[in-house]
Amino acid sequence: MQAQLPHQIKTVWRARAAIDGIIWLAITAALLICHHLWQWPWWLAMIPLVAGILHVGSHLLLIPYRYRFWRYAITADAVYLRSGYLFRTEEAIPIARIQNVTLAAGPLLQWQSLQAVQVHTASTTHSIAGVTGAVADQLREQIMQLAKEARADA
Amino acid sequence: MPKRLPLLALPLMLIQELRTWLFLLGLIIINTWQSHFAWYNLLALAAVLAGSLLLVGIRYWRFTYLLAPQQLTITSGLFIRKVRHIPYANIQTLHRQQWFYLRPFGLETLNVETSSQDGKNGAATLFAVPLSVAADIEAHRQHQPKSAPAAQQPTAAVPAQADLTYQIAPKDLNLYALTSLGFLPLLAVIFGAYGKLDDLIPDAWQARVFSSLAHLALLVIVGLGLFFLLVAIFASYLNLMQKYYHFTLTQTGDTLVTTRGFFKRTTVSVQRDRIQAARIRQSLLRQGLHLATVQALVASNAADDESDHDLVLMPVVPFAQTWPTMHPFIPWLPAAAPALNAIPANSRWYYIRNLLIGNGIVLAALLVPLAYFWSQWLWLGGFIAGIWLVLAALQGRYAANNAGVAIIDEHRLAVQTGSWWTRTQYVVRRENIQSLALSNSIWLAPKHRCHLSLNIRSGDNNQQVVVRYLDRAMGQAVRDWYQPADTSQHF
Repeated sequence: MQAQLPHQIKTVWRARAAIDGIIWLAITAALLICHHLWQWPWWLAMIPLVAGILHVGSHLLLIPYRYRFWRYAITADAVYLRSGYLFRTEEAIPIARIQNVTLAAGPLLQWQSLQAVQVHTASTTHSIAGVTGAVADQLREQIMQLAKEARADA
Repeated sequence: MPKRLPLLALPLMLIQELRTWLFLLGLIIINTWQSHFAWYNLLALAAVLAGSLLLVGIRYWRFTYLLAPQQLTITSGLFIRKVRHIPYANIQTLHRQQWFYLRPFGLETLNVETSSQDGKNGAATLFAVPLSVAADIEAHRQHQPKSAPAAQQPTAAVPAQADLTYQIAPKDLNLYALTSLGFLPLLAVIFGAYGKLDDLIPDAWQARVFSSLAHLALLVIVGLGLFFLLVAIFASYLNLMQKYYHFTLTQTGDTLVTTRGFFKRTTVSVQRDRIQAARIRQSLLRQGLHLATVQALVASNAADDESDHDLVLMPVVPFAQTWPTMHPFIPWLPAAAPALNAIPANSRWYYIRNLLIGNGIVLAALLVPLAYFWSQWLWLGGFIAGIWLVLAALQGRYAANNAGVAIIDEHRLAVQTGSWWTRTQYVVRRENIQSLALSNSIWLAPKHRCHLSLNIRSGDNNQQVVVRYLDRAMGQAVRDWYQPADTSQHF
């Protein structure tokens, strides 16, 4: 099994970028008001504006790239995570090393009925950005079941 | 029947408590001095002392411990009653500290550490308890309930017969202390203290001293610097000598025990199968003298100083003797040095390039404002930057020449890195690698190179071991060694 993230995750990422953009705009607006009220230098307001454009812009541009090249796979023995094209990384986390699995969903993920998965080992944490509810439950069951079997074997 | 700590625990707990207030206390004391013992400063000092005394008193009064058949139970707390259960089987390390003044009473301070990552709650400290407590816990841990109240002898802490003992030779210890770079941080402390002293000594005195020495200024500064350097080296030397005094490593059944220290006798015991990885370290200086240090990575804080969480198994051993000496103690360590697969020679320049780019960017960012505002100092800045870059390139070369990987057998892996002028080799078992990652870039892929990174638990943290620009086939081999069932899951 080699799965791509559900396509709704792109909507979530875009929404996150939009929220970041709103925060940057709010800071810019606040500084502009300060400029009007107390004659703060106007270029002070340009700093968050430029930072925001760079931050949100790079995020939005990278979304198709991230989506296209992010893969996860769960076999009988391990969880595999793979990301990137220009810089690629493949991680292997044996099921037997997994201490616990966390499923979490903030408002944005809930809105798209997705859940983020975190896999914890004794020293590291690995995340899958978002999976559909059904897959999340299945994933958790599978990992817990395999972890149990791995323990029983050991 | 739950037991209370001996009364002698009180002063020890007080010292520990005052330590956490050290910064505040120091501030108040300096202030008191400068204000010529003003009443409000003395009051603040008294308040801090009385407050901590009260806190410690309550803590002592509410603290009891019980050695149950399966677990150690600790009850504490005034408003929030807290009961901690620590099953003997989950104890990672047992850490005993006996200051010289506790020796006549047959008491010692005991730290019980588990692998729980919740630092404070994962560990329990029993202050000034009889030696028999540690012996009992040790016996429980090794699934041999203690026979009779025979373990009451205050001198024999570990009654079991040791299977294997190694005591450090005085000559080796001497070399170890002499080749330590521990004086560097100490030097910083001395200069810091001198800076503080500066504030305390009345200006008039200083002015008088400096005016009478003005014509010797440069000489005085150089002399003072040298003097401080010598003091720091000597202090660091003495500190290491007393810290590792009579260092002994013993193996009893499945337990490894290290004992060391002159003023404070420290004994740490760990089950062999709880060791996550072994680490063999050599600084450039010790590399020249063919000496090595062996540490064990364990899943708890085994060391008493916060700077280093790893248990020292062998402070110093002649490098050639490392493997034959350690193998009997930890059977899964190879008996001879593993043959490492080095970084391919035509890829080593990447290490140098990366360090030059990284350092070059930072240096350029520093030099630009220098050129703009203080252009008269540019030549000096440029000179220092140049030397820095040469050092960076040499470090890159060092790292490239020392990096390597070896698959010892289907269970064991050796990885070597060379960062900060220190050669470090890890030997780790497959089951102790928490996760593994291979990475490369679109430009590196055609050159058949990749980066390998391993995650190993060390203390409460993750120790990441990275080897870059490894031959890709070698990287894949390690990956297949790690997950032999899924060799099809590749890039």
